[in-house]
Amino acid sequence: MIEIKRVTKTFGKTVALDRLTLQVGDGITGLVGENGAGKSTLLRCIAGVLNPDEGEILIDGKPRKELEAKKDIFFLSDYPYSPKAGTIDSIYRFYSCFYDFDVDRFYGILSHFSLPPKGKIGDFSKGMRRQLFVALSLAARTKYLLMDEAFDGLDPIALDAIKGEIISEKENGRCVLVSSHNIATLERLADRFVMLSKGHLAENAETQSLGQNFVKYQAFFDRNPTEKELSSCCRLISYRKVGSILNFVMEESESDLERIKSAFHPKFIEKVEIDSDELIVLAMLRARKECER
Amino acid sequence: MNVKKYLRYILRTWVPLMVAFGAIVLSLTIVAGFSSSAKILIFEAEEGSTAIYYGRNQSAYSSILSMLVPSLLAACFLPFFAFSHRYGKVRADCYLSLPAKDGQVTRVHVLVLGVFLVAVYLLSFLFGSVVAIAHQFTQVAEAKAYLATHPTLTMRSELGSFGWYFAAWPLGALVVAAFYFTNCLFVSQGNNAIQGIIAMIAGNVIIACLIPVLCFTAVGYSVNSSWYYDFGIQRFFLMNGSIYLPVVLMEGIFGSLETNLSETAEKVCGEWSVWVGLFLFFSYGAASLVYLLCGKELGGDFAGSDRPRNPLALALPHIAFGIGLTAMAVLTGVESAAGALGFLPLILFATCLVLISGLYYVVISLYNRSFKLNKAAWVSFGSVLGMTLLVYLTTTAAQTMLNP
Repeated sequence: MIEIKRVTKTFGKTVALDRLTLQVGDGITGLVGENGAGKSTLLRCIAGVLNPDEGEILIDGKPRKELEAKKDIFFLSDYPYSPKAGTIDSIYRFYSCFYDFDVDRFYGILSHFSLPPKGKIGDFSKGMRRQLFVALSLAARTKYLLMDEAFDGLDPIALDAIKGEIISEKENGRCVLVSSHNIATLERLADRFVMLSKGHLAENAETQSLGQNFVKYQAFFDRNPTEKELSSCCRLISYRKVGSILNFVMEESESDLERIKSAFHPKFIEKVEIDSDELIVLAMLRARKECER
Repeated sequence: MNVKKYLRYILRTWVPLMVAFGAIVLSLTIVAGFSSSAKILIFEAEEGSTAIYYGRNQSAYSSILSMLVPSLLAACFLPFFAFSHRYGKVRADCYLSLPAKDGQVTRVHVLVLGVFLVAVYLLSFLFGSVVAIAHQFTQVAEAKAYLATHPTLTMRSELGSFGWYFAAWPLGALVVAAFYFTNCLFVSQGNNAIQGIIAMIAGNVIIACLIPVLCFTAVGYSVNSSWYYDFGIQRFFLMNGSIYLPVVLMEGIFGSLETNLSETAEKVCGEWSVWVGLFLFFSYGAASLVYLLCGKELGGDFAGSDRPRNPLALALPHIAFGIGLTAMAVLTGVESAAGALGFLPLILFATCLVLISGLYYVVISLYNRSFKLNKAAWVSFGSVLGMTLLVYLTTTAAQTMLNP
């Protein structure tokens, strides 16, 4: 388990993480939040790239700075480093100086992609580099895998292949903490979501329980209420006008619904189903509003 | 971290670059050596067989030491490679997250570059020593012919000297290597790349100054024992590694001085100490600038955790250099019978040190868009000024005692 205890990290006047307390257990955890929420900072703190200004991070009860703790973590950053003249083999040799790898698995995953075996990494596109490093991270025999912007630049075929590999990591008992803006993919992979907003922990819940109390309505009014007017009647999460139709999402409450009906007299109002990946976005929106309050 | 595996990886990746770099350094050294030989031959031709003894030797010293220049430049340039894994957010993300002990990767880089540098130095100075012997200890005009006779000269000396000659070089190299690695590895334990780079530069400069003396001492002792005393080698050795060699190095580069050895030594206490201070602190400023430029992303954040959390730690190198310079200047002042340590050069010395030691803090302030210098900066300035005053008082007192 990764334990994060009241971790604070500032960069000059910017507070990237503010007394964050969190536990990350086995399985796949999705780390989401708007830009600047502190996702990358958190991953870097766990990986040992950054030292928190306050608080501590424990890996299976051991301080993160200890070598024994570091050996259990593989960090895949958003821009992985490789020498310009490096090849697939040289990158593997470099990382194998520090980690134990399943060679067959590494080349097995690479076989899904059409990477030139003797090609220079400097000539690879962004997506090709990402394919290589994701394969490397999945083949590393570490207990914890931290991935920052894991799916950035991957084509749909590569993404599909990697999804299967990540799911098998969970079955092997590995703990994967993935940060990504690709909510649709993450929603299908993650057992749990951690949401950050402005350096605070906004939500930490299992995927299935996210947005359980959210309800989406589609309504038509003679005069559409403004967002502010609607917020005064309910715990509004999102507000969108499509022509003369108003779509809004709120936290489920019969009394709030009655208040809206009596205040604004909709011509019609009906409940609409929420897509599963839309739920994650709505949860992030709510988290941001909570933080703003 | 599997150190052996990483060493193999490093050597495989860096060898082509290092070989090319070493070839350039050695080529420049050989060119410098032959051009210096030409100068000496011209000097001898003009002066004839009754060439001024010290002048000829002075030219020989300067010719040897001018061959130091490429190695010295390598000494200042290569440390940046040792710390290159800390430059930039992308590299820091990679290296700082690797399961290695603090500073372990840096130490491996320092080790590899150190071995490479020592090898380049030894090869350069082997060549330099041969040229020195050819000019110093023969009566034959054609110097080039004596490059081949060096082993013969050695064989003619006593067995004990022969043994000392062969023992002195590796012993000397061991002493220098021990100093170098202890210095660099001790500093690289911290998380401050700037201190590590400057420690390496200082270590490399010391190597560049000490190795030729050890070579000369060994060779001179083995071939002609009276040579040791005739050339005032004791004074040379005592002042070496501090101020004297850079003086002669300057002389060799610019070819200006033709005074004898003792006069040159007297100059040491005065104006030339400014050059040493400037050189060391300029290196610090240069290292800081390079690291700041390469280590800080456009976003305004330092790579990894290299932003020093305790600013006072930055003042320590300045204080250490201040103490070192004080000790060296005191030794030189005591040694020199007629030191020329005046007040005006000292003011210049102090001003230059303050300006250059403050360079790092000024750059930090500019990057942070805050023009307040922190307490550490004032401590640093104060320590430098204090050391300078101490140098002045001590050497004045020493001179008064020696020349009542």
